[in-house]
Amino acid sequence: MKRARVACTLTSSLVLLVFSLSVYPDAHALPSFARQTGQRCSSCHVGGNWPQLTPWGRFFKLSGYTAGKSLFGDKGVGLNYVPIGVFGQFGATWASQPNDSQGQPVVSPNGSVSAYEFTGEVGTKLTDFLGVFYEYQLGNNFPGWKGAGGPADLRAVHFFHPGGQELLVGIDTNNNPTSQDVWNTLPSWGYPFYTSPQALSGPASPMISSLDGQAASVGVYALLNRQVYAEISTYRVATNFFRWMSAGTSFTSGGVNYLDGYNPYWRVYWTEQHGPHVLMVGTSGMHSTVYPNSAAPSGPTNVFNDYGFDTQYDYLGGGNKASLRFSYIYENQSWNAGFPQGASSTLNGNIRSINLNGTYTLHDRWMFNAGFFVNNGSNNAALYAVTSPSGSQLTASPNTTGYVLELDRNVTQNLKLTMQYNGFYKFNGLTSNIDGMGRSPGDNNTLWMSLFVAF
Amino acid sequence: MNRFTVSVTSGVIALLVTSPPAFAQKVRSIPPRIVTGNCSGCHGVHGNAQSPEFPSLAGLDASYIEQRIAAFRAAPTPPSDELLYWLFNHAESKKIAASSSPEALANMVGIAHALTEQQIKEAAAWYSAQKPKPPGGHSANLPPGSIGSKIPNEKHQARANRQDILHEAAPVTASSLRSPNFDPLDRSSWLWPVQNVQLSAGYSEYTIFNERTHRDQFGQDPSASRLVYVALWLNFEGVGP
Repeated sequence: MKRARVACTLTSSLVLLVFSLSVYPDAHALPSFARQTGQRCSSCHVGGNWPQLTPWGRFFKLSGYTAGKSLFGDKGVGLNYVPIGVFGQFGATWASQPNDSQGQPVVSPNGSVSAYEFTGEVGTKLTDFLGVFYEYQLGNNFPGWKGAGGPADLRAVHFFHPGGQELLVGIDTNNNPTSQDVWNTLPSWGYPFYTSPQALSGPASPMISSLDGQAASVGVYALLNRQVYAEISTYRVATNFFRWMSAGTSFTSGGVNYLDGYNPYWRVYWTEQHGPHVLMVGTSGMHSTVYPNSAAPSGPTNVFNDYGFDTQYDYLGGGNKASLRFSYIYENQSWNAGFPQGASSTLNGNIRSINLNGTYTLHDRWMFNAGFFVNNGSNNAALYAVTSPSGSQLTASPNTTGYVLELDRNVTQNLKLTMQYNGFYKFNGLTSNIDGMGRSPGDNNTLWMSLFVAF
Repeated sequence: MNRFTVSVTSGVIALLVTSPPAFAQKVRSIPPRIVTGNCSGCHGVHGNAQSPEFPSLAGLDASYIEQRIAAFRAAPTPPSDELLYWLFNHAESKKIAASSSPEALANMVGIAHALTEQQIKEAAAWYSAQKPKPPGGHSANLPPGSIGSKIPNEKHQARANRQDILHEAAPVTASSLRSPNFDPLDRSSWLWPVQNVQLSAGYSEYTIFNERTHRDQFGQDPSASRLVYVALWLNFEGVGP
């Protein structure tokens, strides 16, 4: 124990020391894209802070990652750059109260330095109209390690010029609804951009953000004059031909979302840039039909309809950059399969998710982030109930409210340090005694310090 | 009449009235792919950059654009693994960092190396054929009695061929510069009570000057370019600005 504490203290001191150094700007992004374009991460990512995108970064993604060098050398011989990269993340998480009142661990291990992930990525243009981005991650599950596919995104694009206008049309396939989006308001790339795998979170989340690595899409999108974007995609379970997109996901063991048939996703936004000011207003949504048991995908299904509104404002003023983001997602649930089987206490329900957050970036070195979130929903004892040791039900509500504060320091574009604090005002519908043994929502607060390297 | 018919009719009329020498120049009506997919991301399809971080290229001389790209290509590409350079080859790391401005290293040096000679010529020809957009925030036909307020944009960039100085705080021409790349913070407003009189007030500051964070060889900071001005403009010929 003493040894662990010493290691922890040393690491904290080291992290704080490096934090206080001012050496080089920029931080990681996809290293292979940096090799492809020859640009620094800060060219596409605001302040070099992945995954926030600059206007150029958004366009680079929508244009199919096709800017920069050709992957293949002259006459198709050799490679012009290495189209792969590797990441590693290390750190420690401290909980306000790592154990419950009976001494049972809630966050474990608490405060010990651990490796969190080792990831390999392929991100490159393939031709002038085709590009790909794929990650495979070995992640620490506390306990145990698990390999799984990360984001997968394959795009083909073409520019049309009808009547002097510009119309970018693309075809896209990916493995996570909203991961194809270029704004940081929707769930996939929203704030907090990273969290500790040990951090606690509320029990409810909309289906549109619960299909990562379980679904696969085919979609088409169009960007008119770089101002109006519209997309329609359809998602199905990532099996058979799409199995590479759900690598590491076991459908037969249950507990994941197995989509029935083809499920539409849509996205529309309008954006305007004037000088350093960028504004976006958008809406998105998805209709999902999901089997109640992924191990036995047949029979009746549950239906989830998500409707989202989001807006983002960026100020990109040289050494001072700022972003303000807001999103609201309403999900209408029909437990057509779950209710008769007892997996849901109600036939119909809903989830209401609000996120308001912002980032201030100073000289592409320091990032100050703050966010407030509300994840509310209708009561559902079968899904969200917490009972006290005496057996009485304390809550059937998923309502969770809190905030996330984060400070980032880019030491070089290969090395980023993060300090993040997750705090809760309400957890599982309760503002006190959330486990029937006197635990408060604030006891679930966590502090996370991490070091991220990318090459 | 639908848009297609209008386009065709306009095209035919344009062909009929176009003088033979201009017609022979074969000015493209749609941008080359290198502009669409690369350059336009920062400089705009028609060379009028939205962000003040990037220079507008519209109307610049093609040879000047080619010359600038050649300069970027002559500089070493910033390494994507700069941490390793910093740790194990610090001298080279410092040399690369000193070879270009931070902005050029971040955005242009690497991408310039990815271009072919043909693409450079296409992009330079396209941008030199484009018309610079009037400075944002005001109209040449602004009615008397109106109040204007400018939002900083590309107006200080690539201004070599522009003559709009009436509302400018401190016009700077590219003729005296290594590059037209600035990072201006500029606010100006004007009041036009009658058509013969204009009152102007403004403030400007540069955080990047001549693509450098230092204005001159003596290490003077770009912020030394701060300027506050108040101006009274009179015109008794009855023509407003």
